[in-house]
Formats: sequence, structure tokens, C-alpha cells
Amino acid sequence: MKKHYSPFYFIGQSFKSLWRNGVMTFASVLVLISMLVVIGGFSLLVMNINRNLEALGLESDIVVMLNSEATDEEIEAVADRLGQMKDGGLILSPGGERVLVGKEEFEAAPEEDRYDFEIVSVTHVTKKEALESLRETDPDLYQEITDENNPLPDKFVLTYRNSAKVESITTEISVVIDGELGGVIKSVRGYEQLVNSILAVKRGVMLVFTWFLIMLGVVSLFIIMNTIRTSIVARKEEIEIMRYVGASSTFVTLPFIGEGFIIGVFSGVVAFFIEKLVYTTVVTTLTSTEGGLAEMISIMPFAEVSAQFFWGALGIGVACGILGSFFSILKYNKT
Amino acid sequence: MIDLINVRKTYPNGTVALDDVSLHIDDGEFVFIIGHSGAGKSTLVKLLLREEKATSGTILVSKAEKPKKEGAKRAAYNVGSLPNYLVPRYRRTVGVVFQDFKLFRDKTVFENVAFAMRVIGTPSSVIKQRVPAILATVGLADKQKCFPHELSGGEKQRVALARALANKPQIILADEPTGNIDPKMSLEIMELLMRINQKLGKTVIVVTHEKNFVDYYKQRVVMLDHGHIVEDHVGGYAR
Repeated sequence: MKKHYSPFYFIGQSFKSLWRNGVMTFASVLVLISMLVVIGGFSLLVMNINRNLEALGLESDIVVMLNSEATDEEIEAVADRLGQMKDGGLILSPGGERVLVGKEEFEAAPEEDRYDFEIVSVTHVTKKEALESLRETDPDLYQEITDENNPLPDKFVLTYRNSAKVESITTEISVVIDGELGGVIKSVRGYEQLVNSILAVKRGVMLVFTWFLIMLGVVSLFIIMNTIRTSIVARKEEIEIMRYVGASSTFVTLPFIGEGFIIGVFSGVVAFFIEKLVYTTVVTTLTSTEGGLAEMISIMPFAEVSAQFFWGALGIGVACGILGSFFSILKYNKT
Repeated sequence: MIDLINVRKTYPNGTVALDDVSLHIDDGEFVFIIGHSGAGKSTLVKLLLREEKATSGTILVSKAEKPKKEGAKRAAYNVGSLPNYLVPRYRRTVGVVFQDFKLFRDKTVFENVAFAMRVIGTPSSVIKQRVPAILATVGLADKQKCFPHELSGGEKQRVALARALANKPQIILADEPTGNIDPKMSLEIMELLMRINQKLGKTVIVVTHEKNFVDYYKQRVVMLDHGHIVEDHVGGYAR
């Protein structure tokens, strides 16, 4: 005879048990929602930090100003060095020192001995070009200045791929290259301090995030396990009868897995909507304040990550629910 | 057919519940298992239900399915070495009745019996046909919609018997079936068990300490004492 197992039976049993252990069910859902909202909140924070770091990285350059007395040879030497930084990088010399080399030598060196500055472009802005650029902004003001009495220095504008390397780039230019070329460089202006501060904040957020994640994860699992265990104890007699009449382990355990699943789905969906509500409220508050934070930073709209968040919350919720159920029935799942 | 071959059961605390027990029960037999407390009756039930595993020895129980070839012997479960995933299937060959009935309090008589069938995936259409028939067999056709608390002890035990019969097991194992009911009802239950044995051809094993019934029915009696079979005869309580 073909076997007929009604999914409604299992779903019905799961709901019945959840209802019977109302307080524990409520506690499980509450903790799981809290965990999911905290995970979501931190994720949004990290995403926004990344977004602003990226924006900062794209917009900011490193400007290397040369002394106005720099000769053509000196300017050429700086251009050469910066070209090496872009196409090549630092390698470990046989003497154990780091030396700046061009593309060919850099690529020939073993990977573990290489340091790539990840510079995207190096643009030389001559004093003449700088003057022309100023004349475009205000022709009257700069009409007295000629190419002969142009006080503007030559400069190099560098764009980079990785904000984390800003400090090493500026150090290499202002200390090493300037030292080699005898003080030809007047200043190196980067955003390393700002970038470093943001990176430090990001690291801190990640640390707190991980800590919360572990703590709430453990607490959620523990409470879900207790909820399921309570329903197992409440249905001990029923389970005993099921076993005597030949119920398979799957038949006995499926309603409990179902309980975890329902807790997970419910918590995931509720957490998603709480997250959405809280985030959009915060964003609206920030953007509606004139001269507020929102004018200085770029805030990610929730719609951009809505689908990702929905499935994420649902997935993590269901995984926690099922895992909790699974752990609690392991002990009882014997013939 | 049930075969116990040199079965020994020692519990972790060192108690020897069954010691070198060998017993053969043919298909369709009616057997009383008797003995004082601690004789090993409960352990025997637990081994037959595969709630416990024998420490040594072999327990063979014929499968319910008839062999495909005519005249061939029915295949048997080696209960002790049964892998866990096959235990539920094995248990379906043994219908069990307990002293405390073990009925679902929140289910009607019909639902209690139907549950045993639902558990093994019996279609609803079959359940609807079969449950009333089984309930008629045990004399509860008019109590289908009652809940256990609305029934007498004897009626509860009949429901338990109906549930034990639901999946057409080869063997009915009744562990002190009359222990919780009055003498008149007890007699009815015993009569029912006899009928199940004689009319339906089921092997019936009744574990009891009630001397009167054993004497009255004069069936095969296996007496246990301190884990040993000390009597195996047909007739009353004592030869």
C-alpha cells in the first residue's frame, strides 16, 4: 500500500505544541527577533561605512606638491619614482631592505616579497596647467601672472584603489622618495587620518557585531532548545505511544523540527519589518535635518538591500529554529 | 513464530533479568507468561518490543509478510541486531496492550485507533473503512465518538486492543491487560483475547500474574523465576 503522510498533520502538531508552550514560544520568538534585528542593524551600519569609505576612496586623491624651485630633472625623477610606485612596488632586497622597483623587477620578485601600493593613476599637473586651470575659474584675477612669474609648483595627483594603503603611500613619498631626492617635495596631502578613523570605527563595529552575534546566537539556540524540549516533555506520553505503534523517527521528530521552522519563519519576517521600520525612520530623521549628518555622508536606501535582508533574516531565523530543534531532539531521538 | 535462543539480559547495575532463556512460540499460539515480581516478565516484554537489547543470545520474530514462494518459510527479524531504522517496521508486527491502556486523552476512540494507522501512512479512505470494523470486533461500534474519560476501564482496554489490531500485526503482546480493571471486565478482555487468537489466528502472549485466568483458560503457560524458565506446559497455573 502506498504510504500517505499528510503535511497538514505535521504542521497542525507543530502549531498545537507551540500554542501549548505559549510562554516559551514567545520567549524564543522574542530572542530570535532581537538577534536578527541586531544582526541587521550592524549589517546596515557596516554597509553604510563601506559605502562611505568607497565614496571617499573614489573622490579623494593624494596630492604631491613639489617645491616651486624644482628643476625639470628633479620633476622627472619624482615622476619616475611615482611611476614605479604605480606599475611596480616595493620588494625585499637580498640585504633585507625594502626597495622601490619598476614593473619588470616587481613582477619577477617572489610574491611574498612584494608590496603593491595599489595606485590606480599618477597625473602630472605642471605649473602651467595649474595656472591655466586657475585662469579658467577667474580670468581677471590671474591675468597678471605669466608663465615666467608663475609661482605655482608642479604637482602630482595620485588615485588609489585601497584606502588602507594611503598611509604607506604618503610615507613612501614624503620620507623615502623625498629623502632620496633631497627635499624636492613640499607636501603630500592624503586623507589617511580620516580613512584610518573610519577604518577604526569599522573594526570596532565589527568587533561589537561579532560579540553580539555570538552571544545572541547562543542565547537564541538555548531558548529554542528549551522550548522544543518543553514540548517534547509535554508530549512524552504521546511519543511513547507513537513508538509502540511503529512510528518512524521521522514521523515522531518532524513536528518538533516544524516548531523550530515556524519560530524561525515568524521571527525572520517580523525582524525584517522591524528593521525596515527602524532604519527608514532613522534615515528620514537624518535626511530631514538641515545641515545634518546626511549632507556629509552617503546613506544607503533600505530598498537597495530589502530583498537581501528579507531572505537573510528568513534564512538565519529558519536555520536557528531548525538547529535548535535538532539539538534538543537528538537526545530523545532513539528507538 | 517467536524464537528466543539462549537469551541473557544483564542491566548496567549488574542485575541479571533473564539468564539463558530459550523459548519457541508457534504462529497462532496462545501463551501465558507468568511469574512473580522480578521474575523477568517485564524484561521479556521489553526485549520483544526492542525497547531493550539482549546482552547475549538471539531473538527471532517472523515477519508479517507472507513468503512469495508457496511453502517457503516466512522471513524473520533478528530483533537484537535490528538496525534502528528498522525498529519501527518491526514494531508494527507486534500489537501491544498495556496495563495502563496508554490512550490519547484528547482523542476520541476512533481517533485513537486511527492514529496507529496514520502513523504508518495508511490513507484516510482506508482508515475510515477499517477503524469501525475493528471497533465492531472489540464491541465498541457505538463508542467511536467517545473520549477515553467517558469509558470504563474494560472499554479503555478494548480501545487499546483495537489499536493493537489496527495494523494487522501477527502477534498481540498484552502486558498485564487486566491489571487495572475489575474482575468482570477482566474476563471480557480475556475472552476478547481468546477470540482474537482463535478467530483471527493471531499469536497472543499474555503477561499476567492472575492465577484465576491461567487456570480457567488452560492454555500454554511459561513460568519465569529469577530470570529462568522454570515451567513450560499446557494447563493451569501449576502442573
